[in-house]
Amino acid sequence: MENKVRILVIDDELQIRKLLRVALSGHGYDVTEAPNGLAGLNEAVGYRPDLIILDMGLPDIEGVEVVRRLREWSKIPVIILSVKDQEMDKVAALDAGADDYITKPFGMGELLARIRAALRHSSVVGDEPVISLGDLIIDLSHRKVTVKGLDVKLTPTEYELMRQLAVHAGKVLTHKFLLKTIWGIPYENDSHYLRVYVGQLRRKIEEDPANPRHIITEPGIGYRLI
Amino acid sequence: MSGGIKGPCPAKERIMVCIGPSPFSAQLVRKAKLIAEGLQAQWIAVYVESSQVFPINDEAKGNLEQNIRLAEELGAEVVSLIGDDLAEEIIELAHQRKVSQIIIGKSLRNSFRQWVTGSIVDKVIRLSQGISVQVIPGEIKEISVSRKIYQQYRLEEKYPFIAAVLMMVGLTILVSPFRDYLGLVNVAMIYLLPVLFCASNWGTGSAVTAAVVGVITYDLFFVPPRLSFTVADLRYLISFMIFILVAFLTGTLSTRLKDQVNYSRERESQVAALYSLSRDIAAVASLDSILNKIASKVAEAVNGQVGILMPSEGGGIELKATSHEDSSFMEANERAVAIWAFDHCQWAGMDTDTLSAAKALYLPLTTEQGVQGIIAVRPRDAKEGFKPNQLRLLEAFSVLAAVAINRAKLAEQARESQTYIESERLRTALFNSLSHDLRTPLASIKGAVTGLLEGDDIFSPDARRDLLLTIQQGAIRMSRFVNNLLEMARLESGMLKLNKDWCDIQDLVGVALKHIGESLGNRKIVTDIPVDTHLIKGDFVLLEQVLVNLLDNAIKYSEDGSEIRILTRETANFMEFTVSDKGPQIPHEDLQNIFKKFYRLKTPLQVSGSGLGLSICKEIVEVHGGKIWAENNCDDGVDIKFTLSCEQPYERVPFKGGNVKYGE
Repeated sequence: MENKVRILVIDDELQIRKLLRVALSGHGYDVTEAPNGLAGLNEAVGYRPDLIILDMGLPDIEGVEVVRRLREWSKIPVIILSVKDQEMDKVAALDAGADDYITKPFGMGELLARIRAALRHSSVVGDEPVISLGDLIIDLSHRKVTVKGLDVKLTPTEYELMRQLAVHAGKVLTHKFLLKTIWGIPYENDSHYLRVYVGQLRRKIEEDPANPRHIITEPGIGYRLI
Repeated sequence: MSGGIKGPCPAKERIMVCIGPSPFSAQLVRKAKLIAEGLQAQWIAVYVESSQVFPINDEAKGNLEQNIRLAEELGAEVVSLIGDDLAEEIIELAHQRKVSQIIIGKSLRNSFRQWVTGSIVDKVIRLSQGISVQVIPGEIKEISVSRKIYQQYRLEEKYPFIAAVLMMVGLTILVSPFRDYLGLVNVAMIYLLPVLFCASNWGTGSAVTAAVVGVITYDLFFVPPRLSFTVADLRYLISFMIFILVAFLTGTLSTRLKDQVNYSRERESQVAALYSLSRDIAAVASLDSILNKIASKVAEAVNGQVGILMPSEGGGIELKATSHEDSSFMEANERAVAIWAFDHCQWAGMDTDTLSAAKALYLPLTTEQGVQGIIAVRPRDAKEGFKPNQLRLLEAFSVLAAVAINRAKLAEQARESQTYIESERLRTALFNSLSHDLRTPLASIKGAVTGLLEGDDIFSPDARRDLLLTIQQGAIRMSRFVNNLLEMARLESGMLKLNKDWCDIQDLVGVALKHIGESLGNRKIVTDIPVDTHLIKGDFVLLEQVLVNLLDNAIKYSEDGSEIRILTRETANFMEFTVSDKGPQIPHEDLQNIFKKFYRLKTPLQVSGSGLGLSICKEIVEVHGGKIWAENNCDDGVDIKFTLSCEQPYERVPFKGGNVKYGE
C-alpha cells in the first residue's frame, strides 16, 4: 500500500484548518494541524510531513521566521498562505526559502495545483531532462526549446531564463532569485533586465505574448512557468 | 473704547458740537453730552483740520487728541473733516447728517486771527439755515499769539538768524559801491531779496531778523544822512514798516506752507501704511501669518515694538506674534495690563489713564463678536512715548487688525464645516453602500447554503450545482467589494508605501486582462501598445488594479460583444494610457464627478458595484504623480485616460549568464 502524502497545516484559524483538512483528505492526503508557529515547528520534527502549508498571520512567530527556522535543518516544501497586498511579506518568505504562495481567499483548484507542483520538485531525484507543458517542450539535455514542434532560437541569457523557469515549473520564482541566478548577485536589484528578457522570451514562445499562457506574472512577486 | 449711545433714537434731534485744540472744547463736549442726554438724541463731535488753524504745535495737538477721546468716551460719534473754510465744512456736515442743533464755542480761535479773518461763529450762524446754533462763551484764556510765536522761536535753531545777519551785511558791502548807479529805490528792492530768501527757507523768525538788520543797514549806509540813524525824510519810515511787514508775512506764509506739506506727508504716510497693511492681509488666509504681518507693519509704522496677544485655550492670553524677538510683553506685570485691557475692552498702559506705568500701550482688538485679542505697542524711545497722530494711527491699525483676525477665524470655521459636510456625505454613502453591497451577496449565499443543507434530497445534481455556483458568485462579489473598500482605506490612510519597480506595460495589461477573466463576456479587446515601449517605474500591483478597475468599468457600461480598446502613447515626459469603450457618453458636468467616492452616474443601465472603482484609480494614479480624466470620444463612447511620468531610461541590458545556485 502506498504511503499517503503527509501535509502539515499551520494556521491559527479554526475554519481554515477544518476546510483544508476536509478538502485535502478528500484528495488522498494525510493532514495534521498546528495552531501556531512553535507548535508547528515541533510538529514538523515529529510528524515529518512531505509538505507544509503555513499561514503568514500567526500569533506567536512571524511567518518568515518559521520558514527560516525550518530551513535550518530541512528542505520540506513550504507553501505560504497570505492575504492580498502583503507582497513584501510574501517575497521575504519566498526568498527565505518558501517554495510557493497562495492568497486568501483562494480557490481549491489553485491550491491543489501548487501542492502538486511543490511535491513534484521535492520528490524528483536529479533533474528531469525534458519538461513538457502543452505546446512548449524544453529539452534540458540538448538545450533545445520547441513550440508546437518548431525549434525556437534563444540567446544564451534567454535560454538560461527558460531553463530556470522550467526546472522549477509550477513554482513561483521571485525577481530577486532570477536576477541573482541568471545575472549574478550584483544585479539582484536591476529588475529592468528581467522585464526586458521576459518580454523577449514571451514574444518567442507564446502564441499571444500579450496574453501569455506559459510564463505567468505574479504581480509584485515574480514569475511562474506553467 | 466704550460704545456710543446704542439703539433707535426716539426723538428726531441730532446734536453737533465743534471741537478744537483748545481746552475749552472739553467743556463744550461735556455740555453737548448733557444736552444730548436731555433730548435723548445722538450727537456728533466734529473737528476741522484746516490750513487756517496752522501752525499748530504739539501741545495743541495733544489737547485736540484728549478732547476727541473725551468725546468718544462720552458717547459721541467723532468726525474729522479736512477743509479750508471751517464754517462751510461744519454746515455741510450738519446738513448731511440732518443735525438739528449745533453747539459752538465763542472764542474758538485766538482773538488776533478772529480780527483778521472774521469770526467763524458769525459765519456759522449766517449759513445755518434752519439749524439752531447754540453759542457758549469761553472762560478759559486762550493761548495768545505772542506766546505762539515765542514758542516757535524756541523751536527753530540759531543758525538761520546768523545766516540772515551775515547775508544782509554781505549784501551791504556788495552793493555800497554801486549805490549811485542803482539809486536808492533799487537798493531797497535788492534788500528784499535776502529777506524773501530767509522767509522761504527758514521761516518768520529769520525773515524778520533779516528785515530788521536790513532796515538798520539801509538806514545807516544808504538813507541820508548816511552813517547815522536819523532819518531826514520821514517817508522812509513807511518803507521800513512795509519792509518788516513783508518779511513777516512772507515768513509766515512760507512756514505755514511747509507745515502743511509736512502734515500732508505725514498723513499720507499713515494712510499708505494702513493701505499697505490692509492689502497685505487681504490675501492671506492663515491666522498666524496675518498676525505676523500686522505686528511687523505696525512696528514699522510707529517705529516701535509690537506684540499681539490672543486668548489661549485654557483661559488667559498668550503671545502669538511679535515684530522683534524681544518678548518682554509677557512679563507678569505687562501681562496683567494686557489682561485688564482685554477684560475691560479699553486702552491701557502708557499714555492712558489706566496703569500708565506699564512699558507699553495695550489696545484691545474689538469686533462685533467681542474682543479678539490685544495689540501691545512699545515705542522705540520709552521716554518720548507716542505722539497723538501715532495714537490715532494705532487706533486705525487696531480696527483693521481686529477685522482681519475675525475674518481669518471665520474662514477657518467655514473650512472646518466644509470638511465636516464632506465627511458626513462619505459616511452616509459608506453606510448605504455597505448595507446594500455586502448584504445582497450574503443573502444569496445564505439562501443557497441553507437551501442545500435543509433540502438536499429534493435537488437534482444540476440544481445543486446551480446553487453552489450562486454561492461562489456571491463570494466573489463580496470579495471584490471588500477589496475595494480596503484598497480605498489603505490609499487614504497614507500608510501606503509604494513598491516602485520597473514594469512592462504589456505585462501589466496581460495580467489585468487575466484578472478580469470571464466577466469580459464576448467583448473584443483590442490593444495597441508599441513593441518598443519603454518600461515605466511604478507599483505593479497598484497599476494593475487601475487597469482592472478601468476595464471593469468599461465592461459594466458597455454592451456584450462591443469593443474595448487599450492603448498607450509615449512622449518625452510621460506615458499616456487610454481605455476606450462604446458605452453611453457621460454628461459634461459629470466628467469630473465620476472620480468621486461612491459617486454613481444616473443611468438607465442596471449597474452594480460600489462606486469606488474610479476613485481608487484616481488615488493610485495621483500617488504616482500622474493625472486621470475622462473624455467622451468620437466613437460615441467614453475614453478614460491617465498619465504616468517616464523616468530616465534605464541602461542597456547586457548579455550575461551568471552561475549562482539557488540558495540552499
